[in-house]
This record gives sequence, structure tokens and C-alpha cells, in this order.
Amino acid sequence: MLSLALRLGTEILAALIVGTFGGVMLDSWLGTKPGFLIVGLIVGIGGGVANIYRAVGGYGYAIGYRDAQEDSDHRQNATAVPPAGPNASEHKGEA
Amino acid sequence: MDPLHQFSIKPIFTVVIGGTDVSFSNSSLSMMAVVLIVFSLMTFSVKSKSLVPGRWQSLAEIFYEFISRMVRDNAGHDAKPFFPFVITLFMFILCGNLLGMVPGAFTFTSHIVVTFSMAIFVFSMVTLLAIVKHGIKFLTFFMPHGVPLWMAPLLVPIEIVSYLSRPISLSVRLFANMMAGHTMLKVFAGFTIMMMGSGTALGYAAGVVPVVINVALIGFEIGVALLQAYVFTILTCLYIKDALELH
Repeated sequence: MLSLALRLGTEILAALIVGTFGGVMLDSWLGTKPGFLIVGLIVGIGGGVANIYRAVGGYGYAIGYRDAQEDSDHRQNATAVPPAGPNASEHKGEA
Repeated sequence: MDPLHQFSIKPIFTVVIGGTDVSFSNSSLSMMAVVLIVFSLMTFSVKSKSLVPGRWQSLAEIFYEFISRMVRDNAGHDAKPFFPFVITLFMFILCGNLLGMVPGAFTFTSHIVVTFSMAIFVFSMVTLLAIVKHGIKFLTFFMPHGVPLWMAPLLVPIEIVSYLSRPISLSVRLFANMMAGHTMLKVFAGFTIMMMGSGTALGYAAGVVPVVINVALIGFEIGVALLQAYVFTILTCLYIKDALELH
């Protein structure tokens, strides 16, 4: 549980770093001192929340993402499909 | 007594090329050791190529099958060409983490430089792969399906930031876990030394408590070492899948 919390913490931190740093860089490039920093900060918060939403909700790149922890039945449901994939395509090829 | 002393980089022999310090340090030494360990494990153990595997061959086969299944299940069938890359990454991180658990050894995965350079390599590779495979369609990655067009000015920057934060969260996760765990071990070990140093009977009796905690922490830390190597690898697989399928 602690490791899940830490993981979500890094997700929001990473997005915040990217947003803020990007804002500061744009500011120093365009000379619009606090403007892009504020925009970048808000976008960074949004990105962090989006990251967490994906990680917890199992959307997007989150397939199998949670099973490093306790959530083993989620993974089995997620991985039940891919082994059938190659066979299905083979049958399609024969037909 | 400084719990962060274990992370200091000490040059073994100093090399300076064009004003840049490229010394062979203790970090490089442990990386070389890990490469050597992984290479010997994966080469010499399968040398006999017996149908009924021995102990070492079983170990190598377990790793091979584990990663091969991980790549197939999480990155899809088209990701087969990336299997060598993924298993190299996994073995390098796993053995690096576990080598750090040997008392006195240096943990190179506890340095953000090392983890970030691995993460940025994965990120660049995946991005290039997506651009080569999908061309300009790669940009649709930043615009989720079924979103009204007027939301684009808000959503596209968020998606871009979310995408760019991948290498950072990937590297910070591994680095923070390894560094925090090893610092905690040293802090608890320091408690014992302080208590023993008091020289009183009470000090000696109380000094046993951090040792007991440390025994549990070392087990926990080995678990973290395995888990973080797994997480790094599985995320690499998922990023490859994203690049190949583009949602």
C-alpha cells in the first residue's frame, strides 16, 4: 500500500516538474516572466491528476500496471485476451 | 555515521577527457560487475543445453520465460523484436538492485543520473518508434478519442505534459525507492551504534531493537529491489505497446 502511494506521488511530482520547468523555460525564452510559469503549473497539476487517474483507474497505459501489487485478478482479466490474439489471427489467416 | 555516505561516488582511477571528468568510479565498477554477472548467468548456465535443465540453467530459463511472457502479454505480439532490449534492461536493474543489498556494495540504481539515463533512453526509443511507425498520426496520441474539439486547447497541453512526465516518473520511482530504503537501513544501523556507544547496560539492551528492525527491513528491501525492477520493465513494455498501437 505504501508503495502504491509512493508511486502515485511520483506520478504527480513528475508532471509538476515537467509543467513548471517547461513554463520557466518558455518564460526565459519569450521574456514573459511569470506568465507561462503559472500556465505550466496549472497544466502540470492537470497532467499529474491525469496520470493518477490512468494509474488508478486502469485506463490507457495502465493495463497490468497495478499487478505489481496486490491486484492479481485484475491482471488475469487483462492478460486473458492477448494469448487468444495470435490464435485468432491465425484462424483469420486460414479463412 | 552519515547515512548518505554510502551513495558517494569515489573515482577508482581518474580519467579526464577534454575537461570532462569521465573517471572510472565505484559506480562504474558495480555496473561492470553487474554486466559480468548477468552475462555469465545467461551464457555459461545454458552452455550444456540439456533437455532436463540443471539448477543454473533453470534459473536462466525462468528469467527468459518470465520476460518473454511479460513482453507478449503486456506489449503485444508485435513487440517481439524488443524482447532482447527488455530482458537486458530487466536483468541490469534487477542485478543492480540486488547487488546493492550485498553489505558494503555500491547501489548504482540509487543515483538519479543512472535511472534517468535509462528512462530517457526508453522514452526516446519509444517516441522514435511511434514516429517511425505512424508518422504524423503520432500527434493524435495527444488527443484522446471522443473528446469535443473545443476541449483541445486544454487537453492537448495536459496530455503532452503527461507524456513528457513519463521518463521522470519512471526514473524517480526507481531512484527514490532504492535510495530511501538504503538510507533507512543505515539510519537504523546508526541507532545501534549510538546506543552501544553509551556503554551502559540499558544501551546494550536497547541496541538490539534496531538490529531486529533492520533484519525485517532487509527482507523488505529485497522485495523492493525485485518489485522496482519489475515495475520499470513492465512500464517499458506498456510504453512499447502504446507506441506500436497508438491507443
